[in-house]
Amino acid sequence: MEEYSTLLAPFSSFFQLAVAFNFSYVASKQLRDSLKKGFLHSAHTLESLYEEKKNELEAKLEVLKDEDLASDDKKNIKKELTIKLDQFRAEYHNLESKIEENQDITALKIEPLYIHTALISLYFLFLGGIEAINNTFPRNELFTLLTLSSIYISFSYYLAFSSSHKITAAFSSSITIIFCIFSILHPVEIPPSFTLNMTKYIPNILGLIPSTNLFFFPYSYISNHGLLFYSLTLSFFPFVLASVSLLVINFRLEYKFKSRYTKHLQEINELKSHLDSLSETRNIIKNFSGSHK
Amino acid sequence: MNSYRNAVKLLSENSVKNEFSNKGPEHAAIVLEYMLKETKNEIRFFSGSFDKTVTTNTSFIKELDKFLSSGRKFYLFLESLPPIAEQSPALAKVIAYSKKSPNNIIYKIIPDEFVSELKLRFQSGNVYHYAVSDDSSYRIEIDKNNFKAICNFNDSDIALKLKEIFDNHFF
Repeated sequence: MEEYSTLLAPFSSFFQLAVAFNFSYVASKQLRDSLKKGFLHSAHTLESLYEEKKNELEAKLEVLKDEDLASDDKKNIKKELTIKLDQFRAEYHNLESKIEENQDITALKIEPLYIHTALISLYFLFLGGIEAINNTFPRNELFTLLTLSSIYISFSYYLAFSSSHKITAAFSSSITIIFCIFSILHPVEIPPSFTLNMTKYIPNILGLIPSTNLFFFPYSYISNHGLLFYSLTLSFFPFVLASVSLLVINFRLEYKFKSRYTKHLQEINELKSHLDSLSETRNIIKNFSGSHK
Repeated sequence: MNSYRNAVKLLSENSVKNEFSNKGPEHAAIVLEYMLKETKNEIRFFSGSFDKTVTTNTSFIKELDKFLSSGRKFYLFLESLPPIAEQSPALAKVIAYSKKSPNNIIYKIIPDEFVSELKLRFQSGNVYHYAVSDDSSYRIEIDKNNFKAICNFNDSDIALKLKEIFDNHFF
């Protein structure tokens, strides 16, 4: 077992930071927006490129009104350009809504989790105080809370990404308080190990089931340091996960939309140069000689 | 008309390299207005007499007034100078401002050589009125009666050639 008896108290400033970070994230829209924008920077750049090109194409089509479009070829090109513009518009809106939707998941839907981690960080500070008074590391209390909290966070993330249901801030804070009280009143004692031997549960009549342990988890290896670092990680977990999710979303959106954007652009340029080549008035410019001398 | 104005605004503000046709006095005034607006240093006009039909447009006149008082250079080549009573308000403004700042605002009557050079350079043999702003944008009027023109807000190749012909005979 560890030789250190006070481990939580020296890290109290980190837990304080976690409380401050988590609460300010929940309270400040500005902080949420800057995080979202920071991680989705490339997707936003692509979005503005889409918007710019869409507006430019709209303008080019508008000034085409003054072009004499008597021939069928020219009319067809204009029609194709209009179709391209509609596709561009649709994809721009699609990208816009995809960005918003993903921002909602990473920022708003997991917002109650920030409350949860802020409250458990507060609880870690409280345990640090208990640890200093008793001069003993609150191993079982911490283990109980970390186990419950990990299950709750995984479940919340699953809901945020797969369902339209949202865990409310009130529910999240209530459940956190219940977890904290439970871990203080009935801390689960860490067993020395956990084994899963199927022969214990199923009669091994024909001797087909191997009698060795199918699963073995040595709880005794969960050190106090391990618990401490897991507590620290969990305190900042929503930030880490939100950042990773936003980065993945960013890459995915960029990959998906950038190739389409380039393809559209190429097609638009081809259509425009085809239209220019059909224009009789352009010959005046084409034949404009470079030098008099 | 607003959608056309917005389109021209976008093309000029973003210096989009796009050759486009421009037809009718109202659309002509819009393009010329944005050429004035986006000119950084100097603009050159070769015109008949800075005709009323296009230049009386309120937005154009307002932009012209702003330009002339801004200290940027305005060079105007005219085929003929009409008598005062027949001058368009825009031309009267140019003449008035040229007295105030003779180095920046200059108008002249074209010499015959200018017409000859234009006829040579435009292989169609025609003489077209045009406007060229800085070294990048131009409007070449290919049909005087319908005010039909070819424009581009970002084509230094053509703009520099037009500027060269103009300067050969203006200075």
